Amino acid sequence: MSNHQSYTDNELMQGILEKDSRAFSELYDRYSGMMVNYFYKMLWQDKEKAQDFMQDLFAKIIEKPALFDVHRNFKTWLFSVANNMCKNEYRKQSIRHNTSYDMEEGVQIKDTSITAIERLQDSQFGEKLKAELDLLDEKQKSAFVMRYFQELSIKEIAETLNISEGTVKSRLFYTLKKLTVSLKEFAPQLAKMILVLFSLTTEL
Amino acid sequence: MKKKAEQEIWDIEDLLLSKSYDSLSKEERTFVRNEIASGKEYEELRNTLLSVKKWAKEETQIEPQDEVKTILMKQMEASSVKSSFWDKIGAFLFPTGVPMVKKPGFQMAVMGVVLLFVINVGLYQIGTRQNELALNSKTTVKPAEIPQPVELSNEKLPNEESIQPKSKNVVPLTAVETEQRDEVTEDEIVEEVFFYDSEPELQALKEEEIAKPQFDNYTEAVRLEPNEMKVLNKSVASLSQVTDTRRKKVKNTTNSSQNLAGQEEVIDLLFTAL
Repeated sequence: MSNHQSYTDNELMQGILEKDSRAFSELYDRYSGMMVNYFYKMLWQDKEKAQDFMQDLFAKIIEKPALFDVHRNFKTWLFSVANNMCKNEYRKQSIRHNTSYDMEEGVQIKDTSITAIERLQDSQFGEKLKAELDLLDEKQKSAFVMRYFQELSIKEIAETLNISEGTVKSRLFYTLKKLTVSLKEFAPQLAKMILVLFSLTTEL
Repeated sequence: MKKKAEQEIWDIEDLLLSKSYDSLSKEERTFVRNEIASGKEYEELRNTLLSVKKWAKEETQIEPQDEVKTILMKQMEASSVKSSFWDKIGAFLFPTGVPMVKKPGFQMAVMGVVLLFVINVGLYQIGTRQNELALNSKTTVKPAEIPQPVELSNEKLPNEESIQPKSKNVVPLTAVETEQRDEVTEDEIVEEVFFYDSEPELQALKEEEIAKPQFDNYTEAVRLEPNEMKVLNKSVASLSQVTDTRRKKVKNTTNSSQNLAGQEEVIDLLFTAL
């Protein structure tokens, strides 16, 4: 098992192609957490849905490992597959419901375990941010989530979404502008929070 | 131009994360002003970006369920079970998710049927030709059906030399049987004698008849009882005349150049009668 930890993603994928279950186990350990959180952010903070989608994603790797192009970066390939799954889900939801109603439904799905904002004495910010993220265009949302929640580089996002790096930067900037307008009511509190945080860090 | 603008846009992020508007240099402020209208907007963007990053970092991450991994590992184990040779063959011939027409197994089956059809038609045609040849050769092969002496063992021939015909008096048994079946009367024989062209020719024919292989006569004679042989000897002359008469009839109706052919036909007829 320890041997597989030193393998690169592509080497592990090669192992999966050769039906090496330990290679799959290692790859799962590396990316399952990241992917379930990505789905969680992208799919209206629905935990169950996120788990199901993550399972489906890795099941695809088991069933059709040959779909992976060894010349590509595995991480970006995995995110691109996940992103396509999200797109399909958006389409399904848009067919089932009116988009605005759907987004409202998404907002209603709450996860009380998220307490980051509570710890900052402002739980409303997190809820509002989630709601605003759900209202974003799918392209803007995916780039924003990948950049600030999954911490992918600009290059990786560009590869994942198959767009230029400049386009990624542009999308991120205008998404930030949009969110700033939407979260304007929290600006004083945010400013206060940030000042507190900075003061704490400088004291430490 | 657009690309350059996009590059500049993103460079703003670094400034937003690292510096407040007041701490920007003159060049940086000029650069920021291309995309951001005022210092106030810059601060709002900065606050949003910082808070989002902070919130994203501190937000509780959900963990993948253990059951999911268990299920996936079982699935992986199941898929890693090596398939047998025949499974591989089957998977190759009849792959899933492919239209029936495109499946190699189906295509090979169709090819096989077509080949069988073509081969059968070809063999049938060849077979019909062979049948025709066999029919034609039936008449020519007939003389080969002469009973072979091998059938007779030496034990059954105690006095071989005494039984063998030595003189002209021995009459072919075939002639005897033919005469008996056709029931030729004495009157007919007498009448037919007048058809002879000349005495030497008749004599030659007789000699030819006697000179014929004595094979049949010999074998038939062996099977006969001595008493029967006596009876046969009595009608030697008349039977010879009958055969000669028949040959003569044939000769009269054909040209002299066809004599041999006519004789062959008569021989064939005799064998057929046997």
